[in-house]
Amino acid sequence: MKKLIIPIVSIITIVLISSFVANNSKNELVYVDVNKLIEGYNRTKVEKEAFTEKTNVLKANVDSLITNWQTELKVYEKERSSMGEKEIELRQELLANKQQQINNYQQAVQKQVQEEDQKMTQTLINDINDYVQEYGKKHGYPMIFGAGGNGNIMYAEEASDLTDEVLIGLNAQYEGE
Amino acid sequence: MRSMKVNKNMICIHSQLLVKGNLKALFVCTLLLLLSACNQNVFDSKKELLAHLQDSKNGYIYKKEINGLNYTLMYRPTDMLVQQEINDKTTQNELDSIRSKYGKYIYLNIALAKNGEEVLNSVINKKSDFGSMVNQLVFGMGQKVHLISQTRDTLELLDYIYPREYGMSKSTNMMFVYPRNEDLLKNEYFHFTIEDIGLSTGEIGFKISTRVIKKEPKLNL
Repeated sequence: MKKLIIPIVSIITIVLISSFVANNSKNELVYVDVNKLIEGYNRTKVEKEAFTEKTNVLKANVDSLITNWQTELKVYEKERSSMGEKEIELRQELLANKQQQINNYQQAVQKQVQEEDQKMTQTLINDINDYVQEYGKKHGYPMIFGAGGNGNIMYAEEASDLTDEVLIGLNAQYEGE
Repeated sequence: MRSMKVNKNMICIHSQLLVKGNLKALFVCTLLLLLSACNQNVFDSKKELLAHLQDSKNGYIYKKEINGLNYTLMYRPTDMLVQQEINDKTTQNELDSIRSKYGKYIYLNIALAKNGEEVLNSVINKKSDFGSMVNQLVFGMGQKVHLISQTRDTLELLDYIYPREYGMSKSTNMMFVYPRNEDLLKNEYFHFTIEDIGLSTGEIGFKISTRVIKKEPKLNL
């Protein structure tokens, strides 16, 4: 029985120490600058380029419709003096209808652009949130604050700023390194 | 289930030793019992296996909530599909062949829900949106989901299934099938992403550990 006491006590000590080490989370108060993360994230550039390309096509469609309408308007103004009363009325109606259609299309395009912008921002935020959560768990932080420049963190010493470290890891994950 | 039987036997031996007062053997037996409990990955029933999969600590289920929408991704082990195809008359050879047939692929289940209801019933209000969302779920999900390796290679989706449940389910469920690529499983993890399907969630990403897939749980068939 006495022979067993030493191994049992040593095993209990090892188990206690290892559980203490495993559960020992850092008690530091740390933060990341969310705006800096969005700006510095490599995916932001890629997504912004794709977004700009998409919106440029949509805007170009609207522009060409407006140009066509303006040309038609000029032709109407030029020919107006030689037109009869009924023809003037008809052409005015046609132009007004077309203008209304262009306005509707323009509004739909604006809505689509807004939605695309929202999707893009949400995608980037999802990525950042996931990585910060993973980073916090991996490094044993009980909490990581997100500073967004809106006054939720008024002062923090530089050592508490994890933005650069997180950004390096985030970009490495995105690039598949 | 082999390891469960081993555990039961160990517990019997354990109690006998306790009665006899053989402390040294009792100590060794306890250690072995603890070790075998840690490595348990063969289950007697589908219910037990499901409970194991649904425990997030085991790494087979991932949950996310974005803008009130709940995304749940669960890895579906090969044996759960094998079990659907076998019966009492299935021989060992047939079982092995079914296992090898299903074992060539990775199965991922996705559940989408809002307020405990299917997406089609909880999020969509307009008739036209309903039609386009049905179309999206039935035919278009292949273009919206991506399985990307740690080294940013994209794996081709082989197939997916979306069973219509007409509002009777608590979530919109889909199963995606990918090839069980060795290179993919060599890495530490892979990404599974779902693009925004018109629900204002942005792209949702899951980082899936390959460690748990390599030692996936089995059924005692």
